Amino acid sequence: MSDATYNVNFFTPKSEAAKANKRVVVTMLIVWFVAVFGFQFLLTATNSPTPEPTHAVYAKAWPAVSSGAGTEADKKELARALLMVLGKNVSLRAADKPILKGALSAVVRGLGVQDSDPQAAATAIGLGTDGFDPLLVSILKSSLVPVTSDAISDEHKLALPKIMDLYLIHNRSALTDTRFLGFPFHYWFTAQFLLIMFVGLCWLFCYMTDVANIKYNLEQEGAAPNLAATAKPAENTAEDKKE
Amino acid sequence: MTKIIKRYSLPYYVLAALLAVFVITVTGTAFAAEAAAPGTAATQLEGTFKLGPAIILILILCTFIGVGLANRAEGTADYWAAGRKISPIGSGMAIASNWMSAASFLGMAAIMYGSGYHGLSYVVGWTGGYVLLLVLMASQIRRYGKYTAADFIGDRYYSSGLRAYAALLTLTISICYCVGQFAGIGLMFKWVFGMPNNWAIIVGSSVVLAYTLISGMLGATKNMQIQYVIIIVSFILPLILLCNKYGYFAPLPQIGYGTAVSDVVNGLAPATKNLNNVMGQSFATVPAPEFAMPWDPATGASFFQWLAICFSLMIGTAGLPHVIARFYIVPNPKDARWSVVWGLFFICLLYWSAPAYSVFGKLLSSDPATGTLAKDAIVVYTAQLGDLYPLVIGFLAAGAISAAFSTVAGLLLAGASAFSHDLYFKVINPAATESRQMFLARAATIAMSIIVTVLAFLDLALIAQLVALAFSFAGCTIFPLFLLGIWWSGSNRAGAWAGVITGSAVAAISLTYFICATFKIALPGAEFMGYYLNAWYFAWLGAPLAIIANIVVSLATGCDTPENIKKFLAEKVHHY
Repeated sequence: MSDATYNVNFFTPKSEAAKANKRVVVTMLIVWFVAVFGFQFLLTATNSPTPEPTHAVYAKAWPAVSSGAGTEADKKELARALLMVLGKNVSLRAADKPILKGALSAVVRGLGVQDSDPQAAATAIGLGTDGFDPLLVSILKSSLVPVTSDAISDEHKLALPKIMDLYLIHNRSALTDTRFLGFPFHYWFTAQFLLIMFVGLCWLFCYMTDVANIKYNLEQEGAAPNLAATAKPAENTAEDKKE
Repeated sequence: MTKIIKRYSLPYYVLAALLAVFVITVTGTAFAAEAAAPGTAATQLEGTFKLGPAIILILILCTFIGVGLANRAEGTADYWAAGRKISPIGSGMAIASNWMSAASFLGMAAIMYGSGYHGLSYVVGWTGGYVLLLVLMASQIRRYGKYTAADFIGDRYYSSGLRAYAALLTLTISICYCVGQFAGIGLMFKWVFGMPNNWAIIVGSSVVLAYTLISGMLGATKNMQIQYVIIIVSFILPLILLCNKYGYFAPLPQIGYGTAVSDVVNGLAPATKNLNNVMGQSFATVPAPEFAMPWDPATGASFFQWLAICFSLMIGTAGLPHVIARFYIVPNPKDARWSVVWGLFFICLLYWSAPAYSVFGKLLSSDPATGTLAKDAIVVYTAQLGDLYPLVIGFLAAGAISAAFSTVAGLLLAGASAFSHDLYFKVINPAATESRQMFLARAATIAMSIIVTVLAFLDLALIAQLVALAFSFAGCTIFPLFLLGIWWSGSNRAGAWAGVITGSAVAAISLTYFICATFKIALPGAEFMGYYLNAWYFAWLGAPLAIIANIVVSLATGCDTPENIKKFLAEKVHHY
């Protein structure tokens, strides 16, 4: 091999072995990139903002309650919607909790419960023993705060619609609503399949490299070169001494 | 036995005695505290001493120290590269153990618990990077045949200055990475022993420091194989028990938790399972689609951030000095490749399982009466809330500490070798004796531990985020040097300097904004920079810029890479 051929460039391999390696590496990287990032682009392209059923309940009751013209039924519905959002607990930002609790307490007071009594509040809202109601009763216990009026404050009126939209509207699509092994499909693909694929790609690369090394008679295993004992380019260069 | 006794000098017996005193003191305190607190439940969430977990933790720590002593490094080759004696499966386990830190064990579940689908960017980023590492670097690094990342950079770019700079980068990256680990160790010591957070960090870091000093890489590598088994068993066993208890497919909890994810999304009414957590609250939740839906507005994380974190973690994986160093300890390039496959498989066993803790944590803590739990400890809190047997929870906590220990050992060794071997021996004093190098390596290890301990006190961010910072730093400094150094002989010293300075500048800007934001100092454009050049993912921009700078300057200055390096790359590294 002459000195002119010592230039190494991934994109212009010279030997057959290097060309074969380049093909494998490029193929692996394309599969890897498309699977990881391509899927996320597909996910974001197919997503659309989708409200939870609770959002419809809130949207129906809110205009009347916020204007002070809400009926008892409107207030009960709004209280349920607020409790459903407060139940998201871990997801809630700290700054949003006081607003939700303040609004809920005002609505409960508007239903005739004066002293933040959770049991009386549960009865007033109409929480029973079916569905999520027992959980809402439990959430109610830690959600009532002292309020002086049954009207939601102007500050809370301004903030609440944004908060309800934030927690009750989600990016959903067929990819998120399809179930696979119990998972939402997109979740399974990202959390499980991609990892399986990474291991598979790595195994395949090693296998193909081993086959190629035998084919091209490369890598005398066990006798790997040690630069420190052979070329030592760094210590011997004039350029280094200039520094 | 006599042979073993003769192998060790006085300082080791002093260290062993100090550890014994620590163990006896903690155990004694344990029994005293237990006796002084009658009626205290063994599974209280936090702030109390836990006897069962303490005993398990101490037993496991003693095992580590014992194995470290039995496999103590006897020379620089042992200390830094384990004497190149490790098999692919053994090395794979060591890679996995070295890799799976407190960030993997505690941090991933914490991120997903708080941010849902956004947290999966960490899962994918921390595994997908191994594909890059394997196809682009693993066997080439081994064929190049050096001891450390700085060794490679110094030789490939024929520059003592770059070698020294790479050594400093290695030290910085190791320190950044260790901060998250020490925080995790402190969190678990606090949880087990009920001691104040800062004391927990001091005690935990002292133990891991003593262990690293005694064992070196050979002992650490042997221990890493044991630690891997402890980590994976302690992580999966509680999940099997939780799945079994709450009616999900227990034989394979990695699949079983899928239904639990859907339960969180759709809501789970109390009557459906009719089961409670340890505090008597229902195993139930209102519908919480924000937990699993992609880049949900409620999580505050966007599509861009998901991609940026994932990409930064991937290239960071291929640029971390302590990960690259694992390929120097296998006998040949084929073993280097296969050790990646085994390592990734072993890593994935844990990564497939980690989201399950966040899901069960969500279901078990959905009632606001549970209070606000420290996200970074959600793994152990989940096991506690699920009312698992205290010894199982103790084993889980010991697994978390094992995860942090194995990584810290690798990081401290990488940092110590960067200082002693790459900076002192190769640049400052080439005539230094081996014993002098060993002394400096140990001194560097102690100095790094002290710096990291102080930084861990500041409680800057979540564990996974602190670790992500180290990844981004490695991704935009070390990774471009290796990528171009291996695959393009035209990359020269000037280009390497331009690239590494560009990457470092991006990192410096991002860290400046992060530090100022932490200490409430206003800077212009802080919101813009905090979003697009965040400390957890600045490598998405820094790495491409560093690569471009390297290429442009190399081309502009002409390819002056010495012929012997080009010949070595062509013939020995690439078989051209």
